[in-house]
Amino acid sequence: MAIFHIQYPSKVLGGEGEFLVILPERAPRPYKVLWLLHGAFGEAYGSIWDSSIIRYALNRGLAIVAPSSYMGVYTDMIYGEAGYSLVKEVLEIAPKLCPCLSVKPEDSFLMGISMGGHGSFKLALEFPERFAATSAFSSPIDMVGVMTALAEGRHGGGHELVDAFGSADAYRGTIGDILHRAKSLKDAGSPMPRMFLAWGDNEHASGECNVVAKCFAEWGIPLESRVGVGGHSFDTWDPMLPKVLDWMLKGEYSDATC
Amino acid sequence: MPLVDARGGFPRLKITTRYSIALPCVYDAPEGGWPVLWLLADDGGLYSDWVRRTAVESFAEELGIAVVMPEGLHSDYEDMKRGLDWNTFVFDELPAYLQGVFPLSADPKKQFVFGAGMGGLGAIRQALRDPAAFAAAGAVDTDFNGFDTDARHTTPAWEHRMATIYGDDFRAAEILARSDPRQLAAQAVATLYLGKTGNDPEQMDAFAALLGDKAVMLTTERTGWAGREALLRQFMEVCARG
Repeated sequence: MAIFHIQYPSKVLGGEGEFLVILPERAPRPYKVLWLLHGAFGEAYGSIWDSSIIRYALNRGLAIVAPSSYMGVYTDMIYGEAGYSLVKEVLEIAPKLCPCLSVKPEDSFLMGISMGGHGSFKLALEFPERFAATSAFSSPIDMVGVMTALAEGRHGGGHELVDAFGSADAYRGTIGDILHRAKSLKDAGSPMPRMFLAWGDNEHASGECNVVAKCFAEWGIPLESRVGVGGHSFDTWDPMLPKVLDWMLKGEYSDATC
Repeated sequence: MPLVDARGGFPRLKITTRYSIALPCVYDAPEGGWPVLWLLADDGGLYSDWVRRTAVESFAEELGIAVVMPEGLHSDYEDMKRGLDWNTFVFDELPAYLQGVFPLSADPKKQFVFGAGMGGLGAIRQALRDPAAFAAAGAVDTDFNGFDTDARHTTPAWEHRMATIYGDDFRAAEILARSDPRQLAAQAVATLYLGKTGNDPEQMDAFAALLGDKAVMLTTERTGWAGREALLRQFMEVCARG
């Protein structure tokens, strides 16, 4: 295993950006890549420290690329960082700096933790030709719904969401309006990456995730989903990570996986 | 310019080690990859020393040369008699690995090696042993007299160090023939760059005399890391000119 912490001059930030590249020892090159997006208030190491994702990915011959998007919440914030453009910048430059990383869609997989899942679905649906599959854990996929709930006092999010997205109306119809985007692709008959959504049975995001799963089902958009036991934490997500990796790689979700 | 803080395990070296890489720019590596300077740390130095103490990142960007900075603990960059195979790691295993990961040239005409102190010994000695592997090599503030029998090199601590690296018979003729840079100097076929700061000019002059017309002196009035930085810059300008 090799881990590279890469700092680079970011045009998007107008300063220094960073991301991690983690490579397996024994896997054919160019490597299949897991693009791993951290949660809100996190950074590139967040999902690494709190889970066994390195071991799970490397055992499956997957490299990991994990950008730091700071508190960019995977959108170009109205007041704040251009968090979505920043991740797209890393998507472009990481394979240029490390040509051992495959850019083939069949070798490209997204995974997002909590807020990172908003990013992993957003990227997958903006660039459906670029990825084979995407996954999200306890994520605000429907940010328009979240902002509506926030305005109505039904959501516990803070001012950061307003700083980032403005309002439900401001975000509605944009590329980050994921339900809208998914339905548009479906209506147009456009192919989409395979999608997986997981959440815990005892956490604040379960309601939001349920709504998304029902919408997709109603519209006939394939979405694999599982409900784990526990709250909004890696205690819940970590046992599901290898299963979701296998599902993204092989289409199989097995409780026997480890 | 991108800076890579790297760590990873290598089968031949056996341990997980660390190194830095300064790449000239984010986009548009030249066809065949960037020219590479292998910049070696001093005795007991860290992979981060050159980054922390010099403007090597800026030099890499300005001159279009990628710089890889490994560390070598107290090995003289040799395959140690009692220790790890640092020579094989730095000069074989690490280049072969990195050339498959980053856009780094594998062309010997675009390989350069330089170091300070022990790093300079590793650089010059490898270039003397394998002159076809590098287009240019250089050293600054380096003690080339490690196998000498003067007072400085016969202390118990020094001889213990040498025995650890080269074996108990480290002054045996066959070891001197392979590892004493003063003996290897006689077989020099390419120009070697010796950096002279205000610190210790005599020993660099003495080794330059052994190299004869194969030595080029790089000089600065600055001392310490300021001097090393100035001489690194001069050496990288030589590399960039080809």
